[in-house]
Amino acid sequence: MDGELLMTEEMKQKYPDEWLLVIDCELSENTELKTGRVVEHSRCRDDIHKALRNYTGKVAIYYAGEIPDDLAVMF
Amino acid sequence: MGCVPFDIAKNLIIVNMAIEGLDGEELRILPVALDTGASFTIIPWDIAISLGYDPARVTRRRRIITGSGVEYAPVITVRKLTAIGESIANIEVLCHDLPEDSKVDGLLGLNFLRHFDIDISFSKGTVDIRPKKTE
Repeated sequence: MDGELLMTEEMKQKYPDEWLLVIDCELSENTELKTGRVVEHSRCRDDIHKALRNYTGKVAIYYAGEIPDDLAVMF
Repeated sequence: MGCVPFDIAKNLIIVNMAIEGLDGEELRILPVALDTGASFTIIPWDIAISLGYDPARVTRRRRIITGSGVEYAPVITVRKLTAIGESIANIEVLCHDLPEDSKVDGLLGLNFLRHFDIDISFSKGTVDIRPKKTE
């Protein structure tokens, strides 16, 4: 899968609530992901981590879902 | 200096972090939680390995106290780490996998943040970062 170049808002619409592996990334000067090509997508983050080994260069992991309002974390 | 927005309605401040590989060519970008309660910056094992680092072989481990107990995480030194438009070279990070439900893949901790002055505005929903003033 070597998709079209998408903006992050388009990634969220196309792959809602999924973890994405994105290549050919363009970052803003503030290190935000602006555009890229989605090459892997899964609801399971581990699948994306495993797929990493197949790609080199500038590669991003991106969560295309909304953070739940009731999410509470303590790291 | 840099500035990123965050959602003030959520219980997490998420920013992007870019980590440079051992060869200076590879780059991985991942979503992390800005965490002033984390002493060190944390990245997943798979990210470290994909960048050419070898956390399984480093002898240096750091004892970390988490909410669920004490763990020991390998310490690697990455060539460069960038977040919110600012970079630190040769910075230590711990390799540790966070639960998937956290919706982030790492933590941006104090060992990065302490190099900067940071403003977190909950009225504007922004994080501003700039190099520390030096005397």
